[in-house]
Amino acid sequence: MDNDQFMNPVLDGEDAIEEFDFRNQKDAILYCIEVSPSMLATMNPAEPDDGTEPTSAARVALESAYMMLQQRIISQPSDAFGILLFGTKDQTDPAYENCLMLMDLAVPEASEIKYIKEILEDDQKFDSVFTPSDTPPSIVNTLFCANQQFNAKSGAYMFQRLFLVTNNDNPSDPRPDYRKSARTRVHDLIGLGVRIEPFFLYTEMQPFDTSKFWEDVIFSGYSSDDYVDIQPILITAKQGLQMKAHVKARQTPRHAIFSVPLEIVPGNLSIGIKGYVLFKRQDIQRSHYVYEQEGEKAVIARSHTQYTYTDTTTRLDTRAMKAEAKTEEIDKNEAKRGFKFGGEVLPFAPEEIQSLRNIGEAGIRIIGFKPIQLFDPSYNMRPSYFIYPSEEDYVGSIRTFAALHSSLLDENKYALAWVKATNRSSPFLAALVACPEIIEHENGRDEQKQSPGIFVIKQPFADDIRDFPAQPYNNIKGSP
Amino acid sequence: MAEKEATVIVVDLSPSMAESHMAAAKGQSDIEMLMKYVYDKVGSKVLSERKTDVVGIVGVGTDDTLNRMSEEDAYKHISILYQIRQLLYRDYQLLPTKLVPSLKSHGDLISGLVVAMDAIAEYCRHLKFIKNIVILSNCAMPLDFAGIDGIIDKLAEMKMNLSIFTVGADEETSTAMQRANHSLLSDFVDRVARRELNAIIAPFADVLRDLEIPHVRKVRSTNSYNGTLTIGDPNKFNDSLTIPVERFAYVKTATKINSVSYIKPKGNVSTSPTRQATNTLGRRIKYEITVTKESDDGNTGKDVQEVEKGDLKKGYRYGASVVPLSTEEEESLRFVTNISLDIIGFVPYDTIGPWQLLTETNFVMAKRTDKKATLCLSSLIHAMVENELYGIARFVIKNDRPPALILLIPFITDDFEALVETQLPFAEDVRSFKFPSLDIIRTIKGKILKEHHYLPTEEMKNNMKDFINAMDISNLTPEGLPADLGDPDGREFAAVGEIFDPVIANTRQAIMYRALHPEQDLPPPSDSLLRDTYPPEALVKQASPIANRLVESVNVKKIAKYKTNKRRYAAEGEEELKQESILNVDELIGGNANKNDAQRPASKRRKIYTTEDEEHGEFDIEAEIDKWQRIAAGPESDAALPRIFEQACADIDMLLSGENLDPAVVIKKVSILRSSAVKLDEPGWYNNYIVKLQDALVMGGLANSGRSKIWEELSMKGLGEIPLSDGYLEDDLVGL
Repeated sequence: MDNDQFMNPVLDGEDAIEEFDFRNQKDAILYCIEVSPSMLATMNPAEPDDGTEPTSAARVALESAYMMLQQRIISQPSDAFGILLFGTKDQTDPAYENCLMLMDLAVPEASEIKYIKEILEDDQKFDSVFTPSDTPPSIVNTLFCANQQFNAKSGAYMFQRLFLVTNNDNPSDPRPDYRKSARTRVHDLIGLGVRIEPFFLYTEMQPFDTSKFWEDVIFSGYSSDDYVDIQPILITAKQGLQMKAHVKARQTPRHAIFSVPLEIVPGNLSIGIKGYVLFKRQDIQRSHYVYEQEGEKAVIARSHTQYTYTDTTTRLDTRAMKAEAKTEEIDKNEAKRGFKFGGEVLPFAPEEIQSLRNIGEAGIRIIGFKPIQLFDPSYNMRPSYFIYPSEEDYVGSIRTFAALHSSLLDENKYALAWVKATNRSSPFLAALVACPEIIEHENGRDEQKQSPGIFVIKQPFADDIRDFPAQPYNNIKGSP
Repeated sequence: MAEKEATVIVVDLSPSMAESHMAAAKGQSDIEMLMKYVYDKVGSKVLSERKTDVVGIVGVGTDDTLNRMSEEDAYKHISILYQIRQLLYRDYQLLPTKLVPSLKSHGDLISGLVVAMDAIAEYCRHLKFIKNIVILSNCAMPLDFAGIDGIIDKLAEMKMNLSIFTVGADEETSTAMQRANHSLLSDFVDRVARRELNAIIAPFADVLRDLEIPHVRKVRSTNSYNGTLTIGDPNKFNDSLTIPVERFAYVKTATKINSVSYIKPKGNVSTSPTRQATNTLGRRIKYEITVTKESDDGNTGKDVQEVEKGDLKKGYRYGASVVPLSTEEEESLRFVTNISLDIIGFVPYDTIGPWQLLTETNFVMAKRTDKKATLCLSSLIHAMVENELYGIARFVIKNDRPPALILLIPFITDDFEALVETQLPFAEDVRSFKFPSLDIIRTIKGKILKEHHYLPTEEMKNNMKDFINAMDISNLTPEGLPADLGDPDGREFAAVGEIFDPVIANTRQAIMYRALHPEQDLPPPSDSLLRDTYPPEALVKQASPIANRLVESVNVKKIAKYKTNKRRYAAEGEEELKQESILNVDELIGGNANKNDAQRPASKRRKIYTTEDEEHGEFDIEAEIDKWQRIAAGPESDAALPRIFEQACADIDMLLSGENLDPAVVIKKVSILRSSAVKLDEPGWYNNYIVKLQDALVMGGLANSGRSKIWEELSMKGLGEIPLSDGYLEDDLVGL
């Protein structure tokens, strides 16, 4: 007799790699825009009818920020966003001169977004907010102000980034040692885990020389296998769109979701690599149940399943009393786990269940190489992962990976590999396909269109391939 | 729905089955070997919990007699141990106690077959079933082939599949009886097979090999789209093309066997004959909100409050705000789409990187009852193959579902043609992370380096190419060595579809094991599961000289992990090296833990030292010691070591020339440097440096500012030159 009561099937961590993916990581961006007469200078369309309106660098920057805000609030509603103007006449806090917090670094409220929209739509409002100070702002002070914003929320976010929009390639400061102080501030920010992403703007009239000041200050924080784009961005009335494209491109922080050894020679040569997700379906935000009371803000209602027992004692004789039912809530911890087998549940400890899929050590093992012609895209399973070397655990990883990368491309081969990306994920078979770097020169910048690296493309197991559906007319062959 | 299936296993249980006749069994008895098959076969069916996959088991040579023909002598000692039915857990658990060889009784195997046929005939009647009989025996007992023609006719009439698996019956050590029986059974199987039935006889070694191949659950697909494929809008253009098509899954991740959570009923199950206690498990969804409450003393607190589902609306998060949407509002926001598959255009194969594909694949094939559609689509497919073009299409699987951008890959095999469909990313689905070039180094100053320890040399590249070619597994002999072009035995190693999901197979094995051995720990996954996920051994052996050359040239060193220093690579901020330095000491030896950064994620921040020398921030002595000790212990690349050492010396010089000098720090650093040199067995490096340092401190530029005192201290602590005697290793910890 079946004495067990099933509650529900438990998904045993279907694809644990994804647990670490971006959705669950909170991200904070502080968008800092310099306000100065040159940032506010009107940029007229190059030709009267090219479909653009007169604008200014500061306006384009705020529009870009607003655009990003609008997108993120839908796709990543729990991320924080802040907008800091520096070089304004006004200040939010007397301690930070010429720093105006247009929006505090926090999860934005609808009213704040509306406020930004109003500034963009109302020229008067825009001008009153974007009033430059009489003297140029202190960059040290500004960085300190930014630091305070991040510091207040320290630990709450997995990724913290400072977007710095300026057209000033040589900020001055009354203090004589301001370069050193600026560097210290940058170090402090990096110490807090904040990544600084510069957006240096230039025009035909006003070039931007990164070597004057910024290289020194910003780059003390980055390692050489990191990619920091410091190339200045040309800004004209028409190029406002380009600025937006740059902002958009940096929307998601680069971040590895796994870091494992890649074994090239069995037992004899492993290197360190990190795995990234470059392709991922962005789904529509799921709807929630919300509770709304008169005059109060709507709140989200969380739901969970409560299991209950109903204990019914029934008299079996014909003059049956009404059943007295007693319903009791069940504590989740009372539940045990197991596998169904022939009408019963065989008990398994949670560790045992985990161990069943935890086969082997985390790592990528090359089984061998095959000509790329044997690779069949018809066997695609899921979006690919991208791997890139890291010297963290193995010295010499980058050069070895580079040799593997160029050899795969030169010899037209791919590697077949066994992949277990994290300790908790199930292993799978994959094709390692190298992709070349593609750089194009456009708008005065070298744009990397495709990063060099190796894609990990999951291949199906025998279990995953369905038979061909029956085709009654398979003898009919068309000619082109 | 899979077809109904009835299987009867006839097991020989005569006394000789307790002996061992199979050489490869290493002393395991014949019944022990055959039970491996029974456990697996029956276990799979119990696990599937399919009501229409039924099993019966007939024992031959049982002490009792239990069958419908028991009146006749020929059917003595033959028992139906399990009536044909869906076997459950209890049945499975009883297998080891029920299938035990008799001590004294013999039965006739052919009569056992007849009993099995009778049982199947009775169970299946005229219903459609796949009918299987499996005979397991060591063939040691006499067989009675009387009336065999009638049996064969009956097998044919019932369309029965017959398998006979013999254990130890055709080996050198087999008895004459066994061999004679084996050849008689082989003849019998041949005769059955000539009646166009599936009939096989196989030695148990083959069966064992087959048992290693994991069982794959066949899933019959149903179509997920039944509509048209169009090129051009048929509503607007006369010459547009419309082909009726269906869509079926091709590659689809097999469902893993998932565990369930369950509850043992509480309390006593009533034993009273007049009362019956029933426990029913129910569930309901609870909705809760967090409300901020102001208590009497003015403090605000949070409280969880349950709310009724009826009071809830649907809504979306918008930053910190929540936007409720009524059903009507949602309706008006719906993106209206119509079911369709429209080809937008065609692109050459090489314009789509295989890494851009997002989803599992499906076949788009002509509607199967439509001859004209088959011809049309076939023409399209062949045209695409000849011109090496993929199709790109907009696909709406059902009305009002969001449209997807799909790639159509022409797919042709001998007797099957289709387009394979998979999704392509939209702009939002692509993350444009940038990674540095792998063939040149761009420094931050914009300089381009073509030689750097991050870049492979020509030698490394050539060795890698040789290795890749030596380890080609696209055409291997059965031994695992490269096959010649056109070698009929050559085959692709680990081709797609040859490797099984080890998680599914391992879970199945574990469940069946637990069913029979409830108290024991689970066995490790069987080796055969993962055999082909390693490079073929013979190939590795053959390629080893090439591999060794590669390993030597790239010279990769693993960095030792330090237990006490889990948060490596934390930001440093306290030490900067010379700008010209290409070599990043920190990268070579790992950063050091800065206590202040202990809360930060471990993954962060290495740095390259590009700024001018500057004393900066606080000096963390512990981090420093840690770092230099690591140099001494770490397996850094030999070529890099002198550079590291130089950096370390430069570092000390820098400290000495700076202001706010802390002599203790210098001494500590020098002492670590010294012991490192000793451990590295390079006393010369240290000695060269210390002599120069002594000069500088005592007589040179540093002497004036009171730095000479430091030298006094250094020499007092025994940090002078390392004596180049045999025993210099003994004083390696001086000064620490």
